[in-house]
Amino acid sequence: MKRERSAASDDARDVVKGTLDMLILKALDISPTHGWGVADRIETLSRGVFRLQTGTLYPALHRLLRNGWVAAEWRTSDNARRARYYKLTAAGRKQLDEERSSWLRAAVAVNRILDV
Amino acid sequence: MSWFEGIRQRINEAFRPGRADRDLQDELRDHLEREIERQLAEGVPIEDARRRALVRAGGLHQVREAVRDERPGRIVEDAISDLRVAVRAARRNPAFTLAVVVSLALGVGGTTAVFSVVNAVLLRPLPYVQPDRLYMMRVWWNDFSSTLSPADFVALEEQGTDAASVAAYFPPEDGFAMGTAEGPQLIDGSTVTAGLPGVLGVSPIVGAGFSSVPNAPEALIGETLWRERYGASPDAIGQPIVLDGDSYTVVGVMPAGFNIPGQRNGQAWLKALTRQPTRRGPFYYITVVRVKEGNSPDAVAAKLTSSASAFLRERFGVLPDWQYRLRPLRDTLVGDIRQSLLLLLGAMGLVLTIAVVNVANLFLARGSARAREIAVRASLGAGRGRLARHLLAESALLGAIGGSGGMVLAYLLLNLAGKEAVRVLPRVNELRADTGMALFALACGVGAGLIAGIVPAIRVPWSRLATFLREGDRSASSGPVHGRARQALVVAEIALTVTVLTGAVLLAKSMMRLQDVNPGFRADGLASFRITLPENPYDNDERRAAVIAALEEQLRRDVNASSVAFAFSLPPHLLVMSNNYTVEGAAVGSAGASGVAEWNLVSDRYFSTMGIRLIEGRDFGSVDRAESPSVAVVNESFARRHYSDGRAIGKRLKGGNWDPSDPWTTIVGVVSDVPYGKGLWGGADMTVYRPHSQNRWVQATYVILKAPGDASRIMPAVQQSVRKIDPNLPVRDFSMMSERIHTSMLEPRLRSVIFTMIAALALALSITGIYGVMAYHVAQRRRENAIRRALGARVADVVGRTLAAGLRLTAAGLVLGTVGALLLTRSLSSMLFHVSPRDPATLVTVAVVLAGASVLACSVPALRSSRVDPASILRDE
Repeated sequence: MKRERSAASDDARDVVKGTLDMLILKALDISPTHGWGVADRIETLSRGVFRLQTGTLYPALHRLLRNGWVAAEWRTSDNARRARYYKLTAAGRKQLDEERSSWLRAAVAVNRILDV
Repeated sequence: MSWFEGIRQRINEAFRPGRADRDLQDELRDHLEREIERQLAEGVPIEDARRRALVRAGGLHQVREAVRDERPGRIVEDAISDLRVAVRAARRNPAFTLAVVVSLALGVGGTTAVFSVVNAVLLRPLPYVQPDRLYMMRVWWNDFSSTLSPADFVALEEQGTDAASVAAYFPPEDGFAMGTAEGPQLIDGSTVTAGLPGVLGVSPIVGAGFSSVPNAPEALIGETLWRERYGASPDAIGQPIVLDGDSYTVVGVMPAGFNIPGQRNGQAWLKALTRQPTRRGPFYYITVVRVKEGNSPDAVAAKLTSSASAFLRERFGVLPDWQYRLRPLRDTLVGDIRQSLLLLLGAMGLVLTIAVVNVANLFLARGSARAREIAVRASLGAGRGRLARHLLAESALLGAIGGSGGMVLAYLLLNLAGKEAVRVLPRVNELRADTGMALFALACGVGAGLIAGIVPAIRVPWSRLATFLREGDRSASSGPVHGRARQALVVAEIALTVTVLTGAVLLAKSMMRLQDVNPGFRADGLASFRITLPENPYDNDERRAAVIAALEEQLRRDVNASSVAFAFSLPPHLLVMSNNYTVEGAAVGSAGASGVAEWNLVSDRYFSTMGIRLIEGRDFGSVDRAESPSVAVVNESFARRHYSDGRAIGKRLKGGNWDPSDPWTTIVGVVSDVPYGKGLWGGADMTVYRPHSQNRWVQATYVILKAPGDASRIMPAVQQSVRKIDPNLPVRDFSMMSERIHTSMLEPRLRSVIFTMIAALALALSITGIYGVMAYHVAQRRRENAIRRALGARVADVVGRTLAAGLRLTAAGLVLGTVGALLLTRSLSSMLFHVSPRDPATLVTVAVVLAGASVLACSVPALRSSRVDPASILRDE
């Protein structure tokens, strides 16, 4: 389904098309965390290049939930605050491996082309 | 989460809004709090932190919608939310909603009512075992046919075939007088041969049924009678029941609702006595044949013909100039009604189409009014699919409401028409307002609503939403394409209406012509009823003659009857018997050698009482006694057919019997034609009248009396007279003769009335359609007209332009519709009486009526267009 982009603020930077799921899975592969944690990890690990907006992040999380790649549960976190934690399932790990290898293959190919 | 779980969860959520939504809300709040914390940690002042956090998080309120799209079970939730939106939209615009619902209810209601009748009469299988193997059998002589005779039946029983089983029953119209403590009670029933229940495949629910003992006085009773009279006790079996003065033993109870073919509410079936016939006729056995598996009806008919033929020839010297023919039982029961019903269904289908077109038009008109709202919603992020779904949900909702209205309407119509229809339609007693009917109406409504809703849904200018929003509805909605769609719909509506209206006018015209037909007798002041003399005590000619004479005397005295007569058959449609005859001197194999004519047995003064004109010769009189020479009076058609020289008087014929030793019957008079079998519509056939006095075996007869006053005075007086003569003799089927004429025309009248109603409905719907489009047209051109007026155009010009636009559409519809009518009315021909299906006057009438109605419909908005104040409109813009 075609989704309407919200009026984007200037400092929101989309991830590379088609890599969103993989990046979220990777972020959760480190350890289970909540939605904000996922966004924070992606932003940190990309050194601030990718910044996920809630309108992108949460629908994606729900899509991953539906596909059975992640699981979610409400947990009481650090400072006694309730948060919804997501964690990678076995299927999610397999999916991450697949996406990672196909991304690497593609990235190598694209670089080759660009280097010509 | 399984798919099913998802659906269930979504359903729960839809009704308990929020569980998952609340989760999401909590999650987002958590997200925001953490974001604010980060901002604070980075040293942002608290007043800015919240704002910055919100910016970084992005449009929170859109997340909810986007997340929902990712959840399973979306469809259910959407449907419910679409419905909510639809209900809101419907409430917001009550006039529009009402117009749509009423249009649909009228179309659906009529269609459902007609379809229910079609279903009961034509589609539902007959209530017998393997009903498609059942056939009705008749004897045919060239182009004339009749029911069978007892002689036929004996022949078939003795010479039958393995390929079929045969059973018969007598005319069931009469019923029986059941002896009760309170006097005779009339119950519906008939005499049947012992094999009839078996042939129909229905056995008694209690009791063993007819025994194999020939001529044992046995009766099967109906389930209702069993309850009412015997308290549903099994002890009813073996009890006596007195019918028409004779006692019978109850041998079985038939299942509830059981009827022999053509019967409505039978409660008693007597076993027919097997008498050895002495001649081929008379023909009154209605014969049902069950063709066994693997045999064709034609082969069975041929086989039965050849075996019975040998027997009849040997016994009665019957010439083999006849044959049996089989016709599916259902066809014979449904008969001519089929065509009428299909016609009505077709017409109703056209009206439903008009209603759908109308509703589509309403949606279109409203769609343009709402186009702005839709465009705004689309630009606020509502998906295109979602918007289209809203529109369709709304049409489905309105369709469902319209369908429910139609259901109620159909129910009312059926109840209303039921009373009259029962007298005309076969099998209508099987008609019920049931769930099937309700579902049909609902499905019809929703289907119609959806079809009507699709047109405007695809007309929303998706690709030009932006332009649309900028320029307002002027540029987008009154664009040529959009307007043309609505105009095409109006043209279609008018064309369909022309077709239906033409049919209605043709039928109404037929009805008027039929009412003008001279029935051949004077019905004024004539009352009639029927008596049947039971074997007990009227078992010989003298007793029968005596009671008839006494009755005549009593009627003269008590009812003040100036004239009393008796007849076996009554015009215009109560033919009881046809008989075969031979004209003296006719060549073997010619029509005169073995003709069949309507055969009426009448008393003295029948012709004068009925006002049937004696053309030549004499009436029957006291000279015609049982032992005097056999005489007959024939009608004009008979005389014309056999005595082309116009000299019928003194010629001789033999009726029913070809025994060479029998005496000839001499024609002593010729009377004018009166219809018996085919009613006023079909006209008179050849008729032979014979005097009662020479046919004293007659047990059942119509009594006709000329007496002052109306039915409410005559009927009780007649009943009193008959009771004085014999308290066990019921008065059957009392009716004024004028009423009988009316009844005989009931079917064409009902057809014409229903069709007229359908046409009125079509007219009303299409006029509303024209009105709607013209009103919209005017609203769209307010600005244009205001400018014209401001620039000096006269009111007449503006009104004229609007009228012309409307009339152009009407004219196009008229032309198309007339072509359609010419093509379709041909199928009406058999239902038209002295009117051509292409009757030019009718076509002109229809065109004038429609044109007039459409001018009226257009003139209201046209005049409104003139009343606007140009200045105020231009200021508004």
